[in-house]
Amino acid sequence: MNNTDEQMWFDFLDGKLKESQLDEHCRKLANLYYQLINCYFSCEKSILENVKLKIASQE
Amino acid sequence: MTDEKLVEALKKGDQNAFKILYDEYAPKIYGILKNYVRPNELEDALQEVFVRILKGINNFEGRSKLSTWIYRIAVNVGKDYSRNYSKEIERPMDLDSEEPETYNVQPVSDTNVKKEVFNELSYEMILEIMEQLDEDERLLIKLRDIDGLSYNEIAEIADLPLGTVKSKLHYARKKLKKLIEEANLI
Repeated sequence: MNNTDEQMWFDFLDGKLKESQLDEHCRKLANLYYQLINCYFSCEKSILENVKLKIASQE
Repeated sequence: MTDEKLVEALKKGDQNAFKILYDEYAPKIYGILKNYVRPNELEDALQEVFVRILKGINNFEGRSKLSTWIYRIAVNVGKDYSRNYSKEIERPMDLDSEEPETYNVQPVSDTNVKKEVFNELSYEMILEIMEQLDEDERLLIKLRDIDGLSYNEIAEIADLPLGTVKSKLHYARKKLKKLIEEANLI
């Protein structure tokens, strides 16, 4: 990725560019980036439910 | 419900207000804790965050946004866990002791939900890539690129100067981009 593409990539992440303004490579990279971080930070519903019940029962 | 009304209701012990707060923030807090806490302790850590929120809400005066205050509690709880892990590593092993180790590293057990979300990569590969970032780098990416917080809010939550947040986030994004490219995923 050259410097112009890289700047385009950072501008996209900061909301300065729309996805439609990206070239093919940047668009693929952006999709992978968001899929990866969304997946990594996604949560287990069962844990959320368990904790909710525990706290509600303590109150 | 506005934050002001939500806080007011929480101070009165309103169960419905707690549910609103929990549904809004629990998934976000979980993501923050994941930066710092072992998978088998995430449930306890999440509970601790909410216990601290409920105990502290009476002292919340609205000097910062409710979300900033909550995120800060989550980061502090996460860092407490992380510090304890560091102490465990630093503690010299007593080979003569007959007492069993008080902790063990559990294998990561993840639900199918994560695997369903991501089709192109295995979850193991995602972990491998993400764990090459440090805790602060992952936190900044989470707060900015998932939760969409402003740089000022992030600086307050992460307790870092604004310029440091911007430069660290830039570096973290660049590092993650490089890792994705090196994994030949494109």
